[in-house]
Amino acid sequence: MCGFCGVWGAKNHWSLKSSNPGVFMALSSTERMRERYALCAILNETLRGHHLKVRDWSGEQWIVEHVSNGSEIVDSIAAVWPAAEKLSKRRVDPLQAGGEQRGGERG
Amino acid sequence: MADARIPLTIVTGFLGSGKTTLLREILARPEMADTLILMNEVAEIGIDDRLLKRLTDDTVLLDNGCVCCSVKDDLKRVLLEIAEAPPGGCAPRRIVLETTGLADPRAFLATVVGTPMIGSNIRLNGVLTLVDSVNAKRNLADFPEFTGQLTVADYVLLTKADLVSPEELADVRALVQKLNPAAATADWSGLDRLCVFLNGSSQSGALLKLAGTHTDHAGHHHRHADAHSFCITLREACDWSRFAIWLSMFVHAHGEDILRIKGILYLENGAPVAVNCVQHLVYFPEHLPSWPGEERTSVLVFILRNITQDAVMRSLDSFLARTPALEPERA
Repeated sequence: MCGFCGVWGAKNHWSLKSSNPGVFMALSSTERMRERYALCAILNETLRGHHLKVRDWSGEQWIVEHVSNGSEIVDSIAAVWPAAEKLSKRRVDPLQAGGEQRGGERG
Repeated sequence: MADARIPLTIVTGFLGSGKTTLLREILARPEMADTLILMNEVAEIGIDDRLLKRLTDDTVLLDNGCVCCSVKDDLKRVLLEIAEAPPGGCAPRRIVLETTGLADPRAFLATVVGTPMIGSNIRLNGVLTLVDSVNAKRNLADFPEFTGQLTVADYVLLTKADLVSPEELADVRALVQKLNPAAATADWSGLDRLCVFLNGSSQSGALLKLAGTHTDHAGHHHRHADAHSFCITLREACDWSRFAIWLSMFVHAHGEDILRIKGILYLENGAPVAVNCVQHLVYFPEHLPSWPGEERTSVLVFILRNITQDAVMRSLDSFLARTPALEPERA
């Protein structure tokens, strides 16, 4: 655990490239941060309709913030969704995604 | 590089499907020496006591009460003992966990997948499900436990094949493949290949075969009772982070209706990567050694309840192409 901020060490989670060195090339610390920023961008794009923002915290955890209902700190992407539902009081469901479907041949 | 961790295979099957007979048969083979057997019930299996550990049925349900999110404390303790044993000890070459005939294998999967410390020395090889060819149709119709055992299978062994006609056996095989197209299937004559599977080296073969045979866009669609299965093929390379976010969210929202997702992903770095999911459980992805041919496609098999193929295809397509904002819906 970090003595300054009290954050436990990085959590291994199946979704992170850095947790899967057998699948992805070993990531440098810069690449790990780049991966987390990319994940953040996708999460924010996904949850914008819920009035939520997701931020990286110390390269270890995620902060899920609602525009008016406060925030929660979670360990993994899997934990972002329950926090998002709790803060926004709305369900998170990828089958409800809006936007145009991609045109042309799929695949 | 070969994975040096100890392969752990879960052997399941309905009552009377022949699990103990199978273990007795394969443990007599020299290539299966040093196999550690874990079981809930001690059967008359006649093996060295040192290679047999009995587990107590001490399943602990977590807060959400979902079986796939439960933990079997005794199994966890035993596996941690093995994983933390000093190198150079008498570690087994493989571990076979036999469940009882009415057991739900998801609780065992949850314990293994959900305990990262086990993963340092032990890897989940997969689930072997025994199917009694004589009673398969009746068991599928009458016992949801059996349907659960079949949908989580990576390898299916058809037993008692000599007690049914070739036509009946073909029907059972077709039934199994319709419900779980991602599983490799064999009968008792294929025990040599089964031993290769138990030694942890044939998982990728079945998946790569799947990638080679399902090349149509929408895939096949089969329905059985309230479960239905279909394949989705994606020809463009996937961005792992986008796929991971989609899968994580899909599992969160619909885990109880996801009996199984299994497949091979064609990632932007060109690598074939196996993905595997049972209800709320997502395994760590696995890198496969190579593609079977020139073609590069992602193939995903879904076994679902209450979710249409069209809804999954639209959602997955949309997320992989770009990330749409979710339409808010009241919880």
